[in-house]
Amino acid sequence: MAFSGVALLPVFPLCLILLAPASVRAEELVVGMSAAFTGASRGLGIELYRGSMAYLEPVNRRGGINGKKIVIRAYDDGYNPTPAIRNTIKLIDDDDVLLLVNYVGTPTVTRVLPLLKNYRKKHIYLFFPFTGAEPQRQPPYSDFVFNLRASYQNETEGLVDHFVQLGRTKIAVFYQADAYGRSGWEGVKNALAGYGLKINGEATYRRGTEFSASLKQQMAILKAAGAEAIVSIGSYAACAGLIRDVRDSGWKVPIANVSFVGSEAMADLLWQLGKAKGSDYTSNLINSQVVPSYEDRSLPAVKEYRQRMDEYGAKVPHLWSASDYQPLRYSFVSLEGFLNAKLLVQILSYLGPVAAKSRIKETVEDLRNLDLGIGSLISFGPDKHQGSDRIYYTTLDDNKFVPLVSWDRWKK
Amino acid sequence: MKTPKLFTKTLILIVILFGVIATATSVLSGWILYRSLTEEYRSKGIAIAQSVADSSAEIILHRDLSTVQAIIDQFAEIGGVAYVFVSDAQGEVVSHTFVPAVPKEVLPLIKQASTSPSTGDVVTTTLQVQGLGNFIHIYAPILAGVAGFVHVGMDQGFIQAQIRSTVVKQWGLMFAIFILSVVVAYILVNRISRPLNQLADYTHSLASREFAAGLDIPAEIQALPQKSKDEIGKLAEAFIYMERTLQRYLIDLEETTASKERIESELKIAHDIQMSMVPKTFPPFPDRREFDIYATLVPAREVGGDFYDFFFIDEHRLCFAIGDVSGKGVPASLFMALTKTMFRATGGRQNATAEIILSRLNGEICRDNDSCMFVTVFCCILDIRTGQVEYSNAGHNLPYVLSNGVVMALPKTGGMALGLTESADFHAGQLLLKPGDRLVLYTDGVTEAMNKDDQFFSERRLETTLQGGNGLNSKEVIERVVKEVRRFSTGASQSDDITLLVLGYLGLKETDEVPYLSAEK
Repeated sequence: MAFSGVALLPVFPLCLILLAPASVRAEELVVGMSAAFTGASRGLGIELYRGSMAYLEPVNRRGGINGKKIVIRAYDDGYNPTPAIRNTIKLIDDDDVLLLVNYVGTPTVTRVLPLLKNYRKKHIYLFFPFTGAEPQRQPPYSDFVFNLRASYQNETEGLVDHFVQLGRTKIAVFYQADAYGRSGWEGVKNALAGYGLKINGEATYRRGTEFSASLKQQMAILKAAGAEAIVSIGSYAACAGLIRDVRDSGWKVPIANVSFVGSEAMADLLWQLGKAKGSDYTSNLINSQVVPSYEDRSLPAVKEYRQRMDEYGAKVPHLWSASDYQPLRYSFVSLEGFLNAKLLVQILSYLGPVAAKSRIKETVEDLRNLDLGIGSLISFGPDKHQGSDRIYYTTLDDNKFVPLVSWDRWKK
Repeated sequence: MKTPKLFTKTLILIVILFGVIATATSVLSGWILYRSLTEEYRSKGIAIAQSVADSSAEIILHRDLSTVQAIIDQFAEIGGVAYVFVSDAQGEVVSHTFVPAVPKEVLPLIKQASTSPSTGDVVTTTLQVQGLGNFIHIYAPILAGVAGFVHVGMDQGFIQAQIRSTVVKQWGLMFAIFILSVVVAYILVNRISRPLNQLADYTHSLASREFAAGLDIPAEIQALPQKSKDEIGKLAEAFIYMERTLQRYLIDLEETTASKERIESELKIAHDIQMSMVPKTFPPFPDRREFDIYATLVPAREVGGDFYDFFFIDEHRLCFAIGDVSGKGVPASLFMALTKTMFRATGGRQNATAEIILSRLNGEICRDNDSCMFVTVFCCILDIRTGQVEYSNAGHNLPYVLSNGVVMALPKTGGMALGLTESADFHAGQLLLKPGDRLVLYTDGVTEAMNKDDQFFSERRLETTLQGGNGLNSKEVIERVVKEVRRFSTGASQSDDITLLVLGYLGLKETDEVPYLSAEK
């Protein structure tokens, strides 16, 4: 039931900055971040932060931008909307951040959007939220948000296109019962509508569901519908749980997950489980990504990323570095964080030494054909607040996400 | 300490009282709560549905379902809201909060919403979903239904849980008050029943207590009147008063009994002395064959005023008499002793005749009779050779003569009782007894013996009794009369001394056989 919802996690706002002054100093460019650093989705916040810091640390070491070091002031919202709103107000009012960056999650971002409109006179913009949902890509809020990544609409559309081309027209959706899930669900629905098709079956799960929870009920609903492919719009714990319960029932249906899932964390859970139970949970999985595979070393950005991550090491934001969190050496999330930071540094350098908030929008909208080293160019415009719409499909091979070269194995 | 019975009753009363109150208040508050919560939830649901419908119109038209989802998620977090979902104009659910899936039970409602003529109003109904429970289902149209409907489900289970928790709390409170009341009742009842029990135990112990042992009333009982100034105090006071009175009474009784015993023993001695004053050895003259004499005296009390006596004046003359002193008891007995002693003294003189004896006796008695008592005496002198009886009467009942089955009273001779006046005259009478005749002397204790109907035994009955005793010897005649008198007066107490003296003239020589004795053989 929705009313029982997810309990709001306690919020422990904490400054996560490299140089630790509490107030904004002239030689610093402070940007604000609210993300899940605790709870079931903490891997997203932590890795996104790690990826960004892996890029920013060397930049700051070299003296920063225009002599100013870039500081990310990060607060934990536990992937819950209300703390996300509180954190945002605090970042804008108390911390007077230059801009907001690296927010994680659709339900959180969706609720934060009206705040940006509220603070429009302060010229506060949200950069590169880790979500592919539509609200921040649509009026009235698209003006206040700049996206780097492609949308869930793009991801689900791509997945549906591929499945339909394989002859798998009975597509079911497994999704989180919130705005994020709804966004993906809507993407699948719209994509299918393009073929005159409908969603074959759908099942939801509650946000915050742990891997240990049973998802057999959901599995049974999808199985009963006779789905030929499943598109999962969820977080890694629940999505891994569904894969476990589907495979345990002997059902080999291909299951696609979108970028938000936290691919490595999901793969890790499945790999551990497979090792423990001696069965295979990593086959027939497709993960759509909005960044290239970090295994694709032909790309300059990937090479740079791997090098910087190696330099950065296993650091995790202290205080939240709960003893049981094992940082990932490389991940799609940290690569996205890395690319976010790389683009942010570009923007900040274009912004000039004054770094006036009022100039941020026009500065970004003027960016054209920027090469981040990911094989495609990034452009923004007054009506184009999404830098990339490229989707990268990956699959698990030897417990590594590798670019998916051929879909033929799932042909009907 | 034992639980008082009074407390058990009080406890039962309290239990019933609290049971009734708790049940009544729970039912009432449950009902009120149900009514108000249902109404509150209904209006809450309506407000939510209306507000979502109003705010999401534009968003739905924008086809931005994740924002719609974010909105309904917010509302779904409100207490009592079980689910929220939005159906579009085609009746398709485009946003919902169900996990894991939209239950099929809501589909008819969606259809009902989209097919019923749109009035733009909010509709309230109820819905039962298997496995989820009962809901107040509310739906509100978006843009009068052309953009779809917002559906809100308010959990009735939530209402029930609220009611349950309230009722449980209420019962908890009631129970606490109940326990408190029981404790208070226990203390109060104990305060009442403990002294009552003490009094009861004390009363039981009274029976086995030695009252004479002194005023040892238990301290806790003695303290009661001071401790409780109520009915119990008064009761205790009454008990203490009762015991003190009993003790006093018993001490008095003991003293009285002791003195009574003393007097009784003295009277017993007096009785023995008195009895020893009249001859009691029969036959008194075993070598005399001429007559057969027997007498008895049964005093009404320990001592009496009757007497009899007989003695030989000389070789051939036997003097015998019967007397009755006025009054009874000790004075009468003393007077009797005096009279009897003087009778012997006067009778034993030479030339004594019956009238002379009485005259002398009267003189002696009158001389120092300060107490003004008197005595009736019938005195006879028998010549044993001839059967000639000379007699004189001092106011006494006239004796009877039994002769051949005929009973007759002796003729009067006149003469007052002794002790009345010194100048009294006494006359003599003569009588000849034939052998076999008997002279029966008696006191009024015989004829005036009363039965329980206050009737006298009377001369008539005495005569009849004597008549039936023809042929008996003197002892047997007396026994017969005494037996009859006793039978007559059964159930009534003896009011006067009963005294009888019977003389039978046998007229035989010393060597002769007693004819009736041989005849009986």
